[in-house]
Amino acid sequence: MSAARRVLSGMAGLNAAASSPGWDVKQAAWLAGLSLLTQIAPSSNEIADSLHRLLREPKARWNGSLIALSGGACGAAFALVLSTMLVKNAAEFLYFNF
Amino acid sequence: MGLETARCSSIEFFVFLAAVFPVYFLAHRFGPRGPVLVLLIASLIFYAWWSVQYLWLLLLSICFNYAIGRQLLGGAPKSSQRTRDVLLAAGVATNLGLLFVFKYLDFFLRDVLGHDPLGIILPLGISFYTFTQIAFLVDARRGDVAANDPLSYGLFVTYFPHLIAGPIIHHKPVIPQFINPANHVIRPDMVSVGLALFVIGLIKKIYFADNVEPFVQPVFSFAAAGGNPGLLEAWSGTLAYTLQLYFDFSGYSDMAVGISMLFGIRLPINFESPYKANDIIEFWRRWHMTLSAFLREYLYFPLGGNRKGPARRYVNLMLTMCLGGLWHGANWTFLAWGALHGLYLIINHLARAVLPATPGLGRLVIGRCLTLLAVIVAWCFFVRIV
Repeated sequence: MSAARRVLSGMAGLNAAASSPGWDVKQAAWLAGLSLLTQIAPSSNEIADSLHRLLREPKARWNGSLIALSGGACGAAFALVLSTMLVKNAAEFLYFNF
Repeated sequence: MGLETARCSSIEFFVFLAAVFPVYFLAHRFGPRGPVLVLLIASLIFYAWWSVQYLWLLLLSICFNYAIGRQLLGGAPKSSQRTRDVLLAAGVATNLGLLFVFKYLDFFLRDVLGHDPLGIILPLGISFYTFTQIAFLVDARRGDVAANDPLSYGLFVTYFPHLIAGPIIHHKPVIPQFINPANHVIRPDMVSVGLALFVIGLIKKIYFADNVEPFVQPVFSFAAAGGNPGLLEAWSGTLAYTLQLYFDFSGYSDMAVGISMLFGIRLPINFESPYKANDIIEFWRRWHMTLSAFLREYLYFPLGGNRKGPARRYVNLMLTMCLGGLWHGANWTFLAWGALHGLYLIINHLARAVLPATPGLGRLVIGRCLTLLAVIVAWCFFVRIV
């Protein structure tokens, strides 16, 4: 509770900043970018609904292609995430063991 | 939340998923219960892989609640209404008692009575499976349960995509889906959308939540150690936590909903861009929606909701939010967070009573900024300091 109180008093500008842990431009960029994303990006549910609607469009003859396309895009994104994780894990393993 | 989601974005989990997926869709050759049995076994393996020491508690809880539920649904035709009321009270009390012992007893001993804690380890998912089963019992007493058999009930409680960190599922829309043969064959559209949601959730977790997490702890650990963070540091730490919590938790929920869609089962969505809310009432319709729905249906309404006058409505709101806060963890800070949101909601309802029903653009902009500010301030009490 006391940590929350100190942070809140910092947010209100009541603390002297002499010994605080600091922050940098990279941090500010991440926070600004993600804050913007929460305000402008559609929700996951909206994306899923749109995708569902597209896939169930009765006149669309390209449903199969669309499924393959979205599946392929997701597969590619998944592969990207997975490879990042693998590289990160390998780098950590090398760093801590050698 | 970080620990829970970390496990579900691990490589071992992907291998587990890749193994369960084909077996599930082949299992219908062994009868309509085959796929249900496959998912039940997979869910129990998943839980045991995570926390084998409390598997017995999960199984005991399922057997107990299923037995009570059967009685409430008319297993004993001669039992009177009063007997059923007593059964329901006993069932709910046992569930809450178990939750109290495993989740709150140490907090009660240490922080309320001033005794040494017993060092009880929190069983994973206990809050989720307790709530889902209390809802089942209450609905069974109302006679409002669509379908139930031991296998699908066991799967409903243990279903691995949601078990550890939600969404909180309700028996009525979910159990019929488990036994619907149409869900036992691969549906390309469901797989496609499920995969998309899963990847969105994974990106939210791996790329967004994990990258802002390092900005949170230095500020709050510094404050916990007696330091006084300055204006920019305090704001950046709190804003980073606001973003990390959302991307982590909603990312996990997206993954859970997406994984479930791969198996043809639709789970309820849990987040709907909550930081776009223009007031706190709207925020709670967008944040952890399944918990809000549970609290509204099984706590706020039974307390009387808004049917007993404005004063009682505000008392009910505050009580619901305080208990909702404590549901997140056994600590005064969670209680403070819940109470703060209770206060926000009361102010919001009072403001709605005096302001025009249709807001103008200016009010929407100011409302969104104020809502975000109020939410960020409240998160200061929610941070788990490592």
